[in-house]
Amino acid sequence: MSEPKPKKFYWIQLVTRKQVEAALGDERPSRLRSQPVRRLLVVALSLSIILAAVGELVFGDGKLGTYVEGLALFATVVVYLVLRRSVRLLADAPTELLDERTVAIRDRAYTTAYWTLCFVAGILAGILIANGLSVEPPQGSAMLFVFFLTMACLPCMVLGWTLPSESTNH
Amino acid sequence: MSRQKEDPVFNRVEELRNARGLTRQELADAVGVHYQTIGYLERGEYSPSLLLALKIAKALDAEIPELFSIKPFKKGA
Repeated sequence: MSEPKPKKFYWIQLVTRKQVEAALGDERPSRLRSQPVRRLLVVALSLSIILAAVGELVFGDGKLGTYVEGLALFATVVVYLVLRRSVRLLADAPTELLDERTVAIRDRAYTTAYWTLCFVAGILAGILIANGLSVEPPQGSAMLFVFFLTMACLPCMVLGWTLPSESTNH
Repeated sequence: MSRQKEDPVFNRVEELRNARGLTRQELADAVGVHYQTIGYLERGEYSPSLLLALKIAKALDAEIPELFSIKPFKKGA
């Protein structure tokens, strides 16, 4: 029996084998992988997600609100991609490309992300209940938007916050 | 937190790797992990699984007790 061909593209994680191997094998020191920079990116991502969700509520549904939301959404995507690189794509890397240490780090991040997400969902549920379980469409879509963006970005954000700066002496 | 914070595992991987003239990358390739993992392991920031410890021992042609211990190694041992 011949071995199955190794996958080149991982559709669910939206990464290629080459990308992950390059990220994990990069030996060049990078300021992007220092803890202060990673944490700054996490804060920037959190703010851009909130702004993307509530832009219309805060700035009105006119042109300004739309621009702010669009800009915040663009910033969210850009910052998320940079943060992904700064954590060496660990959150999105498939298990077969990781070793036991990196699998443990990734899995711990997902566990933390799950409990954080429960907390976020609890807050959103609390807002819903406080509003008598009825929300206006703009508020409802903002809440859903925050929830789904948080869900998508959280494992990466947890890694960005918790991973220590990389030692130059690998 | 990782378990090595409570139960440190001391090792002589760096010493034996250097004695065998291997780079971290070469050892990492031999045991199937990323080069960074060898660095974390040598600095005592990561405790390997039994399987990885056995692979490292084989790659360095050493016995597990020569490489890993729950007590600090004596200098020059």
